[in-house]
Amino acid sequence: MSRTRVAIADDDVLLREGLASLLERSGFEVVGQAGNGPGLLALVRQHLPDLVIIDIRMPPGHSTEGLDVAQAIRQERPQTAILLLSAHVEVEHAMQILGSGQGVGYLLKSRVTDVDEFVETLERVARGGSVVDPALVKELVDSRHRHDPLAVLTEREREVLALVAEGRSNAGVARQLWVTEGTVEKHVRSILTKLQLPEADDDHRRVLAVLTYLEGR
Amino acid sequence: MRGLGLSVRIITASVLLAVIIAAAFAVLLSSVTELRSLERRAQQSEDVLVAANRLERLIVEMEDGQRGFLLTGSEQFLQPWVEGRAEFAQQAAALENLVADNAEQHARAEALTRAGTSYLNDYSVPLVAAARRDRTSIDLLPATTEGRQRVDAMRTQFDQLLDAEKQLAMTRQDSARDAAGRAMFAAAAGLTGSVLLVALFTWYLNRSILHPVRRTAAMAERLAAGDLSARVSDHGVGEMGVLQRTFNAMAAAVQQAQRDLAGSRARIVAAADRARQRIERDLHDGTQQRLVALALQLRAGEAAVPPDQPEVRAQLANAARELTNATDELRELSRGIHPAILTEGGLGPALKALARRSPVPSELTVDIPARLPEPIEVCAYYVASEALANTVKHANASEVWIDARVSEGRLHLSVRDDGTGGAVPDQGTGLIGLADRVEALGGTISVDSPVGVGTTLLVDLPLESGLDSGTDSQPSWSRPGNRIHP
Repeated sequence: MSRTRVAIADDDVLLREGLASLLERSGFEVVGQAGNGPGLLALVRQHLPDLVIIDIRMPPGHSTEGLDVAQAIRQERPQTAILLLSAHVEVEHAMQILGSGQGVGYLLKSRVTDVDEFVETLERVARGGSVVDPALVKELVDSRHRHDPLAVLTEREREVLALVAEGRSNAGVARQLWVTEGTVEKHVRSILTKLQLPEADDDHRRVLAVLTYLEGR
Repeated sequence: MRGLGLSVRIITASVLLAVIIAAAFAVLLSSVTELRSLERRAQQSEDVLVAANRLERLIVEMEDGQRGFLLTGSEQFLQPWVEGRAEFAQQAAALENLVADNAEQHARAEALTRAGTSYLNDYSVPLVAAARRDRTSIDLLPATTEGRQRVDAMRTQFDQLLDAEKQLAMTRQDSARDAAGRAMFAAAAGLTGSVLLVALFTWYLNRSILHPVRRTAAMAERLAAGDLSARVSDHGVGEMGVLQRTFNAMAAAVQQAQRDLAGSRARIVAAADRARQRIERDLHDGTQQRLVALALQLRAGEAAVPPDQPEVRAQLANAARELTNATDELRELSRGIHPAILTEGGLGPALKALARRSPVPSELTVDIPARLPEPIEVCAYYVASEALANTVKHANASEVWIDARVSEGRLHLSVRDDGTGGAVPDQGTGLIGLADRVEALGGTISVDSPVGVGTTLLVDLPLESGLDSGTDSQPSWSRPGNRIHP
């Protein structure tokens, strides 16, 4: 099995280099690094990487340039997996990147320091999975409402819901909770029924549906 | 006329009034004086008539007495003659005296005196003396006939004098009537003129002083009530116009000062907001990046540690974890300083994030069709954030409702809770700071917090504030001498 080919875009050289060395150590092939959006786009066109890791804030505006370049890559090479890193996570950004298709992730930048977890996430995204930062999911799930529709869920079901919202498959959720995949399936079906959400054909659609539900709650 | 001062006008009007009243009184006074003199003259005529009648009777009585004496020879009959002879000169002189101011009458009186004197000296006294000597020697008929003729002539003269005096009295009575009429007319005209003039003067004072004073007072009241655009028409007369123009100038100065102050307040608030934004950016793009890079290096170090040194490996791993925790704390800190989503996504998403993180259950309604001017977004966000913090800290509420909507060019924001109420704006609730922010943008803020019902904070911000909050523009009073160098 060939190594996953990765391109990195971040305006901070030190962080970019640290990330590159981590990736190399963890079995990825770093095909190039860029300090801004157009630089990354050139790299993508030249090296056709499997996965790009993009900092949301980059020159010139230091705002959401990473989102724009992600959209551009989606247009040009939809098969490229994209992981967006950000100093802070916002649901609007998550919905925007998830809306562009599967094989995307949206994480806090500090997640890169938990190497094992980060590498696993990268592999999931590279395989076409969708990943949402747990901090964002936690914020959405914990958001308090007087007549909270989530109140009908059991504690365990809430845990499962959060893991589903993070983009995990049933097998992934089962691994996290140390239960069987069948149990997770049962929980998921119960949650969807209680919240009157439709069954989704794939994990990506499931994430979108759950996030949309949580955000609009 | 416009150049004349009020005092000149008032003095002129007063002088005019005084002149009219004085003229009326002068006419009245002269008429009264004339009446009095006429009355004196009428009395005099009366005296003349009395004196003339008495003198006439004296003469007639003397003649009668003399005739009785001549006929009878009895001295007893001569008694009136003796008395008349004694009094004649005095009474004739009194009559002359009374008509001394009228030449004609005086001439008649003198003629009478002369005729009387001649009657006595040339006729009566010699005749009586002769009769006393020898009554029979006298031819009675011619003697008494001469006496009768003389007395008749004098009576005719008396009649003339009396008729003339009566004529005079009648003429004087006519003049007296005329004078009385004049006096009445003068009094009536003076009274009417004075009343008219006083009314005119009152009307003029009312129009030129009282009305402008009232208008100016009403304008001052509006000013005091905070309506700094209040002005008064400055076409008042003289000093009144000066007063009104001064009031208008004062109002304009106050209004300008208020604008300048609001502008400077908006600039100060905007500068503080930019500073917070810069700190947030520096923390995210600088410090946080650096910490993450550092944690990555520690992880690299951890990976490079030989397997036979697990303690070093564990220490490095722990350091990396702590660093990550520090990064998380830094993220929360910088969100508190300025939420990046406010700049990136606008007020709606920022309020959503704020509501999601509220420990008190919240309901958010947002109806904002487009991005708003940055100062408005920042202000509204901080107001909502502070109000929410107050609710959490003080209100003991079970729910909070946040509502933000744009209509008719204004942003309306309300934060309402069902807590204990009784919030007082100046007791460390941070509401004063919010008011400063809102007013700096020309908006209004109100807090309604009945005890036991809950607290509602309402903010209303004009989207076109008209206030210049940018740093690029110079304040209006800036001169080359005191230019502010950024």
